[in-house]
Amino acid sequence: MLLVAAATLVALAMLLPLTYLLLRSSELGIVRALEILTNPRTTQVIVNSVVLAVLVTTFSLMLALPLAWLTVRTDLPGRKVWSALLALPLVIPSYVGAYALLSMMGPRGIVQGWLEPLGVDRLPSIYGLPGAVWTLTIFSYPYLFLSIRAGFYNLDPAQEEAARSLGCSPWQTFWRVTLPNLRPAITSGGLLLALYVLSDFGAVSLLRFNSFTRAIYLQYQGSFDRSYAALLALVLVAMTILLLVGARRIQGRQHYHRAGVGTARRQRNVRLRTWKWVALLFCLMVVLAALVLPMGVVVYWLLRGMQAGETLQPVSDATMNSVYVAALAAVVCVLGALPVAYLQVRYPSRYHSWLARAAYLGYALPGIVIALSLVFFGANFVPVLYQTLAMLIFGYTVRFLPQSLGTLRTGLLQISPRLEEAARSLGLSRRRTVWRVTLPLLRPGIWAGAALVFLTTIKELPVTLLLGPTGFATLAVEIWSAASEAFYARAAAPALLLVSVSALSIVIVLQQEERSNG
Amino acid sequence: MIADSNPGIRLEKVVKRYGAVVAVTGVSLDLPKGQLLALLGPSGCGKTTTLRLIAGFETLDEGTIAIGGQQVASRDRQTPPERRRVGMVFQEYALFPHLNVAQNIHFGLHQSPRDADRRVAVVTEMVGLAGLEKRLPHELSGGQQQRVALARALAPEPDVVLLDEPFSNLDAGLRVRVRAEVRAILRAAGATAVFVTHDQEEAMSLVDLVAVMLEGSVQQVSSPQQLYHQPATRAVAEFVGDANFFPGIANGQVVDCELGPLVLQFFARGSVDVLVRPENVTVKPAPASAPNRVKRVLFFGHDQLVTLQLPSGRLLDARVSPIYNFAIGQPVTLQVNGLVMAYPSVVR
Repeated sequence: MLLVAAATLVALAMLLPLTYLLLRSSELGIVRALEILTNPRTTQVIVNSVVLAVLVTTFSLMLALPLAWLTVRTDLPGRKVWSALLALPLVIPSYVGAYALLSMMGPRGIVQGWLEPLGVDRLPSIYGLPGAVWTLTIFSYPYLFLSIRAGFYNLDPAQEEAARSLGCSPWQTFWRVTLPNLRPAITSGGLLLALYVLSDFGAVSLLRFNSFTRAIYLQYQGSFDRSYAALLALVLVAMTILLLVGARRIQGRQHYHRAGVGTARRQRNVRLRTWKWVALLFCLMVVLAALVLPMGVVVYWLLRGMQAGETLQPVSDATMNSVYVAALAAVVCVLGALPVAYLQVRYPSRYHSWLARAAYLGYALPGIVIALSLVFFGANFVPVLYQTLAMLIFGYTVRFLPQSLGTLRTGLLQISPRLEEAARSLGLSRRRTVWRVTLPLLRPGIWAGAALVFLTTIKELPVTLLLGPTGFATLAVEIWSAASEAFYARAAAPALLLVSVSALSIVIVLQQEERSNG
Repeated sequence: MIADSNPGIRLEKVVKRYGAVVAVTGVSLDLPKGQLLALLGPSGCGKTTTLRLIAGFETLDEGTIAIGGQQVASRDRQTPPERRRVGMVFQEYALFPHLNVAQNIHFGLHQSPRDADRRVAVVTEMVGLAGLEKRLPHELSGGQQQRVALARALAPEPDVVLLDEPFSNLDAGLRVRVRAEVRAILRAAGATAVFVTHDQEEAMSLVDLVAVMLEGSVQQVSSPQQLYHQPATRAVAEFVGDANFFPGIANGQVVDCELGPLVLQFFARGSVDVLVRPENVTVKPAPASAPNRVKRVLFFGHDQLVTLQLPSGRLLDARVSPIYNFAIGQPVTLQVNGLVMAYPSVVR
């Protein structure tokens, strides 16, 4: 009973931001809402966001599909190394990427500095759509790359052989069998990528592209018409939920798609022959653009900053702050997710799965939406909590609890209920069984969930920016504000730290994946 | 030559290596058109590799392969799989999950839409799947998936059909029925077919010819009956069915061994190992003076496997009818029925 109450409380808390947004925008009334939605400023934002998501997803697919094919299905030299290098841009948060681009190509950037003596005082602007598309493509194509690679690995090679024996050339086989089989991986990966692009705040805000997240932020900052911001946020949530539902449905269907059993044979690799050099050049260009260049730029600014005598004191303060709030968020998320996961896995019922669904809602909520809603809510109803650490942690929890819920759920599913039944038959009460059997066995899942939340919290920008106490600087906020004010050298050290932390989180995610696949 | 006027598949001295490992060591085979052949062997003997060489999924290192009188593989020239006119039924069926039954069967057809549709209808009818055309593969039972795979392979009227352990994914009860169905379908289609299997019973009951493969090479190609009664080598005899071996001295038509003088199927001389099938031994209860004792009895109902200890201490397995109730230690007499095979004795 206690457990159900706790889980219900968690679910309600997770529903709070969205509920509040709904209430808030309903104050507008239908007529006013429609008026706002159809005014040119709003439609421009919607069009901008859709164009951005479509372009980034398209370009990412153009990179990811050939790269995945090259690294899985051909004899490309050094495939393992390329696979790792090509997935690695994932560890660069979008605002760090945008910062690297700005500080290289923007006004007062590196290239400008080099060209000034030559009389070039203005470079073509990278602000707006081009910069945003470039940055988001290059740092988020790995999502699609990894998803398509998994698709290639799941492909039964006998399918392609069957097509060949039925008279298809290799090229026809690719179009008629391979690609249709990859379609679930491509569409679900593409939808999730679009979701990521729509939710991104760091890149579009630094590169000044007026998509939803930036528009919402500007509304929050500038005007007092908060209902308008709430409405914008709701439209964004509607779009992300649509994408998420679409991706889920396709992934679900993928499950049934595997007809037949039996061991899959090792797949045959295509010989590239002389095309090898073109392929290598392609991989090299992508790695240069997405990894070497941005990190090189950051290191450049770090060195310049040190030359100029930049002090590291603010960095260490920001690091302390980041670690502190991230650790708190990790603990809260795991504690909150435990009852929900336990009930969902061990006592499946319609009510419990609704609780879990509510708790998963955070996945669909972009950080800026959660932050905005909690800012309004705090200012209006609980001024005591407004701009306190408690509110910040609550924001993180809404956003990242789904992650810990996922790992805990996987962990619980791997513990056989027979073990718990054995403990019960040996005379332990239900509660003692949880303490002495379930939790000890769940320990790896708990650690993984906490680590995942910790590492993603450290990277989180919009929630920290809006909900943090005044003057509370974390690494993410430090990078963002330094970059937006063109203090490029000051952003370098925190950016490097953040990227290394972020790299750690990838390692954990990959380990989790391996465990659940094996 | 008969094989040339009526060519099905011909393999000549086919060799396939994986690095230092020789998977197939000089396989030669001749399968006339319209016949069914089983490639029988234990796992790892190279039978699947041989099948994949015929299909064109592996490239051979030496030798040649011809299908329907056309050479399709040699050291220098490989016809790609799509131009070999070979239909393949995969172990795990490999049905295209994104296509329904009719679309799967239609996949390999390259004629006009009308002819193709007609062909799909004919083949669907032939394998007994009429009415299920719109189903997706995951909506079918294992046996139905099997038949779709077969129909898809047969639809383009290939010169040969290759089947890789086609029944291993079916449960035992279903297997016997599906086996008979597949055999009937292949016969009706007049197909030339090669099965790969490790199941002797399956191989023997299904085909015209059995090729036994051991350690990368074909040891014997013959009818199931001949394979069982006249195994070409001691290794084949051991692999196919159960076998007792006794050392003996052959002297033309007769061989002398512990079981007395036995009549040979083939003339032989010198020291040999005599093959005695458990099925060919009759055992009867006898007075205490009889030299053989019952050591062990496994009772199966329809028959029983009785292990006898001979005076020399050697053991002999006999598969006998269940009418007698043998007790452990009981004295018995035994008799070997029919002619026996003998092989040059191995020095141990």
